[in-house]
Amino acid sequence: MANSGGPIPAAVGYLMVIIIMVPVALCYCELTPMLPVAGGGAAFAYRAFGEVASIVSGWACFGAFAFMLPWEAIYVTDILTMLIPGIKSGAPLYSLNGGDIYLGGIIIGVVVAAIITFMNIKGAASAAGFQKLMVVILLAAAVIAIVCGLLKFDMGNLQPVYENINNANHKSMLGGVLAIMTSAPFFMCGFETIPQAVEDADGDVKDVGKAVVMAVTVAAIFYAIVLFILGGAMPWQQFVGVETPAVSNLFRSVYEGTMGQVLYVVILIGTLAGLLTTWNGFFVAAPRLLMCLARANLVPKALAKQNPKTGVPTNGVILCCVLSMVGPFLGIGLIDPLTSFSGTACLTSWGLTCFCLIRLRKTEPDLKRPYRIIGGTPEAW
Amino acid sequence: MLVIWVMFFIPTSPCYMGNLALVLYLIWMAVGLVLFLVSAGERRAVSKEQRAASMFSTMAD
Repeated sequence: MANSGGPIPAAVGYLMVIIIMVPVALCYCELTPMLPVAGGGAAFAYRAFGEVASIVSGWACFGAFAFMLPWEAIYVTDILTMLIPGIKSGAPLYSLNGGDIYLGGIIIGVVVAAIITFMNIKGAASAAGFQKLMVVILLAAAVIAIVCGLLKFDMGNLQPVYENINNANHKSMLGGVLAIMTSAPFFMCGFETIPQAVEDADGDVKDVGKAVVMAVTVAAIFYAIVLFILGGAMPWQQFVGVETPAVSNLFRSVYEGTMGQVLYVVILIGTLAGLLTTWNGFFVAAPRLLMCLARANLVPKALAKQNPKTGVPTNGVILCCVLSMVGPFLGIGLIDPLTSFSGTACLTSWGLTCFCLIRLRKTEPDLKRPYRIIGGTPEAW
Repeated sequence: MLVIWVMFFIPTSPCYMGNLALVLYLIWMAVGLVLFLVSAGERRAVSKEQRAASMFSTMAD
């Protein structure tokens, strides 16, 4: 919100993201049922352009997933230190890019990473059960945040509509809207995990494509609504100055006494559930994508090694465990670069996927397409 | 999409990813290139058709 010059440019930015993202999602919608194999963009690029394009798309996508693991680890550690203040006691061990790193934070982050690794080593079923529980907690907290934010909502709090308060790289509302594009792909890229699981889909593969479009649209609208409502719950220039966790602290500011304290904890728990959900989701998807690349010999075959009993890609999971455990050592100061990196890596893979649709319509027009996107090739362009 | 992607790499654009993220991106893609080259021997040992089949083997006709 601060980087985009207010809640309205930020919310509009997310709605603009729909304009960019839905055509991409529609490309997945056509390609996924057409080529229903794990690997998503990497598999499409392999078929359309060959191995070099496949490794570029697949490796970029894997990078986006892989860098989200330390990202999630950093935030989970940070939220836990807020829920249990004793973790951050004493002097920091060191600082990195402006963020202080505490021994207690490192220990708790590494322990959580080990638990998530253990769940994923046991197999997808164990990870899926945990995922469902976290999603319920996240949704409950989101509903509470929206309702309580609405009760304090005042249009006057959204004024001025645009103001560059953070010395950001823009001078107009349009610039503010564009600035949100740096981080928006990062927050939208969860949909990319859906095609990775297409081989496991029980129902009609056409539904997988529709799920991708739905996921993108609902996520963008949800972010826009949340930004708009929370931006209107208190004067937004004050809100962007609130210490992290900003949303929890916002409710502690606008609701007095016990109510504010309860909301603070509820939102923190909801945030934690959301972070654990995405962490676990990318932990499931990343090793499978790497396995797909290794199976096609695009990266060393050793990375495709699976547990013969559970089918879990063992070496991929170990790699993801290491990446997750690195997070607490990096600290909150590296969040922005990690976010931008993942956003760029996602766009690299998505852009190539759009070109794949264009190319495959020419080279393989007879390939069975259970779903054809409206607008066809021009839409993909 | 392509325009936005290009803007990520232009330092004066509102979408610029930042120096550290750019370095991370370049290093990451370079690592991918190295792994691709390292696995060239494994690729040569398997025919192109077999490699394609390994990626699309689970696909029904």
